[in-house]
Amino acid sequence: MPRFFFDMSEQGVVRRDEDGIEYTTLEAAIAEARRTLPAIATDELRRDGDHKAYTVVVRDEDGRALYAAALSFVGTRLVR
Amino acid sequence: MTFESNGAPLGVLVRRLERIASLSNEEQRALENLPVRVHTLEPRQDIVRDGEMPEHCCLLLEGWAFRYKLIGGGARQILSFHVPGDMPDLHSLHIQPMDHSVATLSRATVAFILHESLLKVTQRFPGLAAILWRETLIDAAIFRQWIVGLGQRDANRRMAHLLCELYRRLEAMSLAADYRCALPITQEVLADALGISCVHANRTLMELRKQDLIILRSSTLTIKDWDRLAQVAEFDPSYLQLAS
Repeated sequence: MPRFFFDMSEQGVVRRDEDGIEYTTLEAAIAEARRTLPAIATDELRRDGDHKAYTVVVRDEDGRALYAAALSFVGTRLVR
Repeated sequence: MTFESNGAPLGVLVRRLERIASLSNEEQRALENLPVRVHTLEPRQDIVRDGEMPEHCCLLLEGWAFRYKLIGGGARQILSFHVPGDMPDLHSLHIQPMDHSVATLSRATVAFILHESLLKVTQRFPGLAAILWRETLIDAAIFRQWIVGLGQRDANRRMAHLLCELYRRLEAMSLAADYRCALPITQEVLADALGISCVHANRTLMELRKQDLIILRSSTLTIKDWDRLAQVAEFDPSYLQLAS
């Protein structure tokens, strides 16, 4: 099974995935990325912040980027 | 299929139940004399499947097991983890069919005890029936903690809580000490227990490692700072009802 690496970033700070996870297909790895990004954003937004940006890049074992996704949250206070 | 009575395998059940209640000598002997059929199973082998009507309960003698439910699309929710001394399908004694499956996590040895034998022994010793009832109530208390985690805790706290819980349960069976224990659980399995993706589980473990709370390497968990891990998890072990 091919191994895929998920480099996540938050507010521009990238965490390189050194371990990777095996999936049967790229589609399965993409589904994993789709599921993970909003879940991490939900956890982080519970804590704080009105301006958050999350990205993930899925790489193969040769370091080739295969899929990228971004999610942003912008909260604006309308009263003071 | 023969069920033999030979005290040794059931010692682990006696030890397990002694952690939550006291047994008389007669009750202890009655448990030890229950006829059992012992099997060694490979990792990830189903012990009993969703929908089945088993005629026996299984007692885990060695290794780990877990309960799970498969839902549409191939997703799996892991419902609980089990360590030696546990009877993960004890409820099948009174409610059938199985509404979930039980499988081994690692290579495991299990003893099957016929429902008929268990019913007889609980009729003869109402004290044992009460202790087994207590055991299933504690099982339910553990589920309540998991529900709280799945519904309300973020992934880091969920993971921290699970690690605290498993450590205390293993410790109660003398299978862990000095904040170290075997943890033959892959990230994929942890993810399915915590309701998060595998990538998320990996990130969560890295986070706990970065905070210098745990080390998880070659299936061994070391808790470096119990107090802080328990604090992150808001872990209060009283629901496990373990006598100290």
